[in-house]
Amino acid sequence: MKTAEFLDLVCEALGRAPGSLSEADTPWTVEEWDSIGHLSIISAMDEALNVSVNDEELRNFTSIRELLDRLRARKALED
Amino acid sequence: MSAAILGISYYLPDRVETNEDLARENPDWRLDELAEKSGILARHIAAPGETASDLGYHAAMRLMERGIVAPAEIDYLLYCTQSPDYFLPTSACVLQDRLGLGMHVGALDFNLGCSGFVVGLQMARCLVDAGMARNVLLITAETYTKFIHPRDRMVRILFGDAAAATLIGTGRGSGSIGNFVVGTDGKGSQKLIVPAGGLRSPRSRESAVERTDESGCTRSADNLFMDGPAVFTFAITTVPHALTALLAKSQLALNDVDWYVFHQANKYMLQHLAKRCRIPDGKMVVELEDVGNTVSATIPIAIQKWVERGRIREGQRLALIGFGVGYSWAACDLVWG
Repeated sequence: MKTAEFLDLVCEALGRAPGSLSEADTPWTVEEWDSIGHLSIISAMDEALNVSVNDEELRNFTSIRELLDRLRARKALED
Repeated sequence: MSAAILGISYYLPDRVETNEDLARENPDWRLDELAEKSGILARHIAAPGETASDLGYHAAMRLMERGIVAPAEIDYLLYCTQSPDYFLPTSACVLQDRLGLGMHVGALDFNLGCSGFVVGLQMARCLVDAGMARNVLLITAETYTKFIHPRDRMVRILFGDAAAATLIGTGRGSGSIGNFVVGTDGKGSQKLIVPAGGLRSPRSRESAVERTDESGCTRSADNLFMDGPAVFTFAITTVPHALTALLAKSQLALNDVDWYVFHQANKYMLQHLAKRCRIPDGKMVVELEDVGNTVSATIPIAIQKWVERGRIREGQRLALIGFGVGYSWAACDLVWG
């Protein structure tokens, strides 16, 4: 999965239009990213990514950029 | 014979706030979607001037009216709330008098949220099994809605007010309270908080200033604040380990438990936890549609509703886990009966 596809996955989990999120977004900049939205993202990741997101990564998941950096470090994204 | 739950009653305030009510007031909230995922269609709201101890009093009176034990045989009153009537005196002392309990009773408040019921059970079990109390009345009562800003979508859709009263004494049938696993991580203390109103930061003109965050939620420092993503992450990374530790302690397999009664935070959370904990299909209790998240009262309310419906029956094994504000968590297993 490429970064753009992953961002669209997050958009879909939050019920937003594709392309409406950037790496800079956090729960505090996106109306739909509330507690339940957060769980929606995690559920979508569990199902779509071929990696198991561990507890430490989940605890540090406080922005799109943070998450992408960790996924890139694990080579879970293709670009 | 060891300590067991002898009975549970609960009380909900009269006023009901439905999702339709919230939608009329807040047409910009995505209530259909939130209702679908939270599983919450309505919640009860305490009236102005109606406190958590009032709700607790009614719940306890309902329990005592069932005549399970004579009030004189209650030796301890444990009262869990984060909405006390006063800084002092102890609300449990006020309740001891109001409920007509004997003057021999030990009574104390303890301040916990969603883990409070299970921690209270642990203390009650210790008192009964040590022979220091014949029966313990555990009241868990909360009125978070009094702290919630009406324009804070993050918390308003989730929380409702309620109280539960639970009687713990020496088991008469097959019932018994088993092992416990508890935990605390105070690093999460700022993630679910009412910042002002205590002595650390008294209420003031400044604390009452309202601010709207970038996600559109409005609150002041006098209101409840929940960093939802952080709190939910805490839950999904902590609860599975607590369950694993509990099952190991009690030498149980996942299938040995008939019902998993976790803190009823919201339906989506419970479904997610069921998956992460690998709980067998159909064993996770979800019971919050018409009450919402009632904090320390969710677990006893869910148990009692399922007992009344005949779903939870004598001899069945339950695993309970409360988790939330603090951060704090507690798990236990018990046999109903």
